[in-house]
Amino acid sequence: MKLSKENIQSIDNYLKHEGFIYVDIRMEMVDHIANAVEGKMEVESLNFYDAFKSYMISNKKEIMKQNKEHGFYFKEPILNFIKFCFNPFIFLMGVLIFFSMNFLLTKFGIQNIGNSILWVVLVIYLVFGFWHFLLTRKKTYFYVEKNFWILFLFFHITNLFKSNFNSNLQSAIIFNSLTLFLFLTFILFYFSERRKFRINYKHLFE
Amino acid sequence: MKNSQLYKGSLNTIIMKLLEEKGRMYGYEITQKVKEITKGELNITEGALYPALHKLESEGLLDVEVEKVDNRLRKYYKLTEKGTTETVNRLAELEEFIKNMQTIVNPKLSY
Repeated sequence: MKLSKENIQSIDNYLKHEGFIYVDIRMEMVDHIANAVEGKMEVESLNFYDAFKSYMISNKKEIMKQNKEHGFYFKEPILNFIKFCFNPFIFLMGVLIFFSMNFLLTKFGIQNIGNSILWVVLVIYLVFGFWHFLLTRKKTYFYVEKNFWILFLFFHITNLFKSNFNSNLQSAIIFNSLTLFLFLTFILFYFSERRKFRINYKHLFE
Repeated sequence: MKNSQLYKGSLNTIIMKLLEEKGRMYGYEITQKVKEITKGELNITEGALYPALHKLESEGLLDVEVEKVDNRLRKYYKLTEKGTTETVNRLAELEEFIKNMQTIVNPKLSY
């Protein structure tokens, strides 16, 4: 027996209420529960409500583990970001940024260029922050959230060390090159991940 | 999962082996298939299955496809090229492990 659209919506609402905030994670759990409930309805001749209640009584603890798994998840996006950096194009971009920074800082001074880089970083952070707010206003996707953490991390690390490294030319070249490289690479990484997600999960956006 | 400590280490290999045979599968289907093969002896719980699937996906061993089936969205998993090669290695490793365990547990049978 197949569940109706209303039944599926009930499962979705229940999980949402139980704290499954990410659409892309909830979707998989809805299908899992729906399959199990359909099986129960058939084998035990139950109606949707009784089958769903009976399934959740015995499996709620296991189902809820899925939500905890995605509570705080730094490792995977960071590893993916590092993997993304091992790419000839990204490497070339890094080399270009380093030589440009060397030239600009020597010619125009740490004050001017260092401050401009921090402004660029702030603009990127604010634009992404605003975009993140717009994207998560109605629906929250785990892929958006986990990748936004990387930018959040970079921004605060940059702010923490900016005064230490902008004190002499050599460290300023390294610090500003690395900062610009990480933020620009993040933009490319974010759009590459977004593209992959939108291809694999295209039905989520219909 | 029954005897969780013994089976836990082999869960990823079990998933990869099933995907190698079936091409692509979704979470619930994997739990049912394992139950069917082991005649109900081995029951993979949701709490063990999905983290394992997500880890294999993040390691680039599995690829995903989302399709609309019966009024809902279903996430299918399939092996990537890297995953197919890794399955062969992990199965060989598991077979070796079983052989060694048999030698230790029941030396007479292993000759």
